Amino acid sequence: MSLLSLLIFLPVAIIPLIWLVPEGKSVLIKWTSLGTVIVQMIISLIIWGKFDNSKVGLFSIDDFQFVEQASWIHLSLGAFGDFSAEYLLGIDGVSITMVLLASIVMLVATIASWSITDKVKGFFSLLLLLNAAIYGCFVSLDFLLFYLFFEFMLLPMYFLIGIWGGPRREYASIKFFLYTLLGSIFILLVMIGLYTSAIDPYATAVKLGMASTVEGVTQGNLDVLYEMIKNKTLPTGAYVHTFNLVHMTNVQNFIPGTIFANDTVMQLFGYSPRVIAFLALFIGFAIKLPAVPFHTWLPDAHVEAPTSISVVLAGILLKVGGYGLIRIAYEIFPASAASFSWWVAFFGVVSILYGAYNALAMKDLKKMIAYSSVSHMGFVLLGLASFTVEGVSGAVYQMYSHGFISALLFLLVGVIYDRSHDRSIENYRGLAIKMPYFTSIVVIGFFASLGLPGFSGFIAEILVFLGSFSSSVINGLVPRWMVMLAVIGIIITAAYYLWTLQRMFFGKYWVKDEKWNADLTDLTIREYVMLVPLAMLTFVFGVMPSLALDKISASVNVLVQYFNSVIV
Amino acid sequence: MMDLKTALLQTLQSSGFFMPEMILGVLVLFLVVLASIRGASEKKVMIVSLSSLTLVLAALNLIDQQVAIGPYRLFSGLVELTTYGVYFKLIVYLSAFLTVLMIANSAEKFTIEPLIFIVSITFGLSFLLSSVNLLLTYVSLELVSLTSYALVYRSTAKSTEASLKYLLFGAVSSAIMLYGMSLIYGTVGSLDYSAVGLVVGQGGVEHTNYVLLLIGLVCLALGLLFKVGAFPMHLWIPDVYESASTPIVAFFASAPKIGGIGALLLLFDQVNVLFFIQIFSLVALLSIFAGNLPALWQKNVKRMLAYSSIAHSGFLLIGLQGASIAGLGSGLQVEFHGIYIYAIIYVVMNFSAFLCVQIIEKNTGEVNLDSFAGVGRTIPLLGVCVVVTMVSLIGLPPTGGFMAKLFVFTEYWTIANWMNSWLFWSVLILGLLNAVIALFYYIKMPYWAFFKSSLKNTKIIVSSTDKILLALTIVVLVGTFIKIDWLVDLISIFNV
Repeated sequence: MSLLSLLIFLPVAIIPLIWLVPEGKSVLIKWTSLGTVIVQMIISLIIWGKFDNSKVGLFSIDDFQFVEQASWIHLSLGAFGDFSAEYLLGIDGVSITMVLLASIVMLVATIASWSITDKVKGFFSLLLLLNAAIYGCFVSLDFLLFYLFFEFMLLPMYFLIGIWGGPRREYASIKFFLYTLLGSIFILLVMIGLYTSAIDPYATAVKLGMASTVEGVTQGNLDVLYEMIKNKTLPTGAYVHTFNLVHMTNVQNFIPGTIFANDTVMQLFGYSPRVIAFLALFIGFAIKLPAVPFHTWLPDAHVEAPTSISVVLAGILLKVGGYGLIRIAYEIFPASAASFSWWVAFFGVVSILYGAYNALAMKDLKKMIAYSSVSHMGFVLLGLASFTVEGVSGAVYQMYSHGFISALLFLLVGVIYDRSHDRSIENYRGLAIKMPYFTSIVVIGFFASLGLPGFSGFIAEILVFLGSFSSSVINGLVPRWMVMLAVIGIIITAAYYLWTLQRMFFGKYWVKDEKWNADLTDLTIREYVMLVPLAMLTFVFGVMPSLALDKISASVNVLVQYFNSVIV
Repeated sequence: MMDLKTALLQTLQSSGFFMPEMILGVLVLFLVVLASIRGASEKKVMIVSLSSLTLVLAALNLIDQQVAIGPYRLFSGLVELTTYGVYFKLIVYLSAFLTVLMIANSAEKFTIEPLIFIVSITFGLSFLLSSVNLLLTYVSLELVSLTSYALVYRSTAKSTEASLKYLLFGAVSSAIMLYGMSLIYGTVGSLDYSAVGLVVGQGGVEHTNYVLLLIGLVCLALGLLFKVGAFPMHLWIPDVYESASTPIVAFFASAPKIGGIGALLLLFDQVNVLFFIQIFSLVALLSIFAGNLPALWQKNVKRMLAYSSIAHSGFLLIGLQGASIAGLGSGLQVEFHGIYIYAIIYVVMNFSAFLCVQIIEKNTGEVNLDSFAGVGRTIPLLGVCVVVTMVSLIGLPPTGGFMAKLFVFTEYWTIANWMNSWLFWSVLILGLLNAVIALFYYIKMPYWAFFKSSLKNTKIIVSSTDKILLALTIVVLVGTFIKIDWLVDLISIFNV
């Protein structure tokens, strides 16, 4: 059973069905979409259940799970060698959490889209396209395939924000598109370089006639091949250039003399090309993450996007940035990553502090939560920079937990906005009296987000702090003062959440416009269905972190060992 | 010198391989005769089907004869049949064929003259793509130019201005080119490309003459760049594109461009020094900027696409570097070049864009960005086609435009890796980063089509032929992304 392909292509296959639905039956469209994401959820749970915690991933395709491999594009380009892109899917401990998260967030987002009444067909088709691209991104192990899905997320998102968004939607959507495209061009540059430098050793061995099939290639064949590559005795045109990300993690697969070869003596603008490549990838993914100073598209996009799209954006799309950093930038260029650790941690800490300070100053509730996302994504960078098991696990866990916490928070903002069409914090007071159940979930959401023990955010942040604090002793990559500064970020986070609670929800009931009184009712059934499971999830993963950490740990352990083995 | 008899005999033998060109020549003459017969010149269906079928016939002949014999010198060494030359010829024929269809599809009053000129241009380009002799290059280029001037002219004030500008720029560029040729002939003493190449490669002349020779070659290349529409010979493009009729613009943006690129490739194949690679990398980058930056401020879609075509000339020139470097001892003998993919996909994107423009023009009578307002909502197929075409022109997945760019830049990467100088890396990086600038204006069409609603109440009607064509271009542009190998297999029929 090719479960991963099913995850990607199920929504694509549903789109034509949606277009067949007659005009005026928009409920049917909504139920079809909901059915699709429920099936995807079930598939994700099956994958989660069958996942073997002991398999590690990283170097060998055999260590990945649910692998699907097929030739996609294979061209013979004469003296340059072969051009080979594969349809290669597979997951390891890092991606399994992202797949489950995607299914949860997409389910919630689809329910949240129930209030869409304008151009329903278009909206749900684009949402399903986005859905397919998101899963594709997390399960691709071929760079070209990854890049396809990575870029393909932009287009549906552009239209979703631009057509169904708020008053300044046009500005926000084009800003989103331009920023992320800039980032992905940096990634494209590195991709071209990597693919001209890296080869698929198995296919090359077959091409040289060492074995008849890829499966038949033995370790002995590979040793001979690597020896030949090293001594440059391979005939021209024998190389099979590959986009395979797994092969790119092995430095032996780089052709000597090419730009990204491990021992390259080449200089690009005065620096080693591998360092520049890491930097380009870092900028590319940091725009997506987003890290300060590349974050300015995020508040605009969030404020203008409809609620369900904000949920997808904060819940999943930002994680693609973090995931890409781990899967591509760190796994392929670990030594350069280590040499940049100080800066990565620095940008992380700046994001944590700057995001939190900005959130403190925001008058718009949605903007505040958008900035809190920037702040929380800073922990991902800090954790990654530490090169420790705790830090990297913390980074992955932070992405996972922030996924449903931020989804919860944006849904809560949506609840208010649906009723009064106003999100200013200062226009409300004492909502707890009028909407007690709503307020209690807000309290849970805020506390989960500020890292109260018992919620998943706490586990993630404590792991990041442990990792980055011990980093100064273990490998000396992240200085202690940065971690101390980051702790201040937690305090500011607590400050803006508690202050908002106090201003909006506690005290005597008052709203700016009396007309809202009638509309401000407590939660509906549909809202309970979305909010309660998310709140429970943060709690469950807060008290039983091993549920997810068990999946993550084997992969992260190997990853960190590998990272530390290349630090010079 | 050979005597008259052998010369005649050789010409006769060579003519056998020039069936496609002869078919086109006969068609031109036949159309001219038709034009002079009262009544016959207005029979649209007959003339269009005759022209298009003849073009198909010529193309089939091309595949049948010229592909089969491979590299071969004909007509006492005046022309050389190269595999890529034949391939580019086919793209030119394809462009002409599509243009004829677009003319048939147009709402404007049908006249026979544009068809005569289009076939003559195709005829001229066909010779240009085999010429390895300076004089023949000049003559065929002039044939193309003179008919182009006439083709552009329509009796409106704007068009008069544009065609006059075109004529003046064209005259200047051909003067420059002729001057360059005289310098080359003066220093080398031969009109043959390979003789020139021998001198350039081995430096068989003294230093001052060598400099003169290089200047001459640059002047010659400038004349060809005029046809390509690249920096610094691009100034005529916006005005001409804005005022000429849509099918003609689509033709200008594809056939002469591809013809010019092919002619440059023929030249560089035999005459090449590193100096040219450096200069043309720079020219390519400047073309991309000269196209993309002014495009940001355009409100007229045709004018916007004009600037976009300048930028795409730049990308074609980047592809040209990869294809022409083989002779320079780089060890980069690649058998298949990115430019072959880029050229064909560019032509498809180009016609698809102008097809969308034509449909809008037919219904609203104008082609400003706001003419597109709301069409994506009322006619989803047209909207999707606009999106796919523009995404492809930007060069994003999942479209053929992305694959074309990937191949061209991969090849350029190997050059940059080999040369490893800041110039090539800068061209590579800035060339790719231009996609961000390009996004900003290309996305305006989808933006108007989907985000705005139409202010005027003009109902847009798309004929079923147009619908089929729209669907077809979507399939081709997405299909070339998904299975680029199929396209490559198709191209490899030409042994390029």
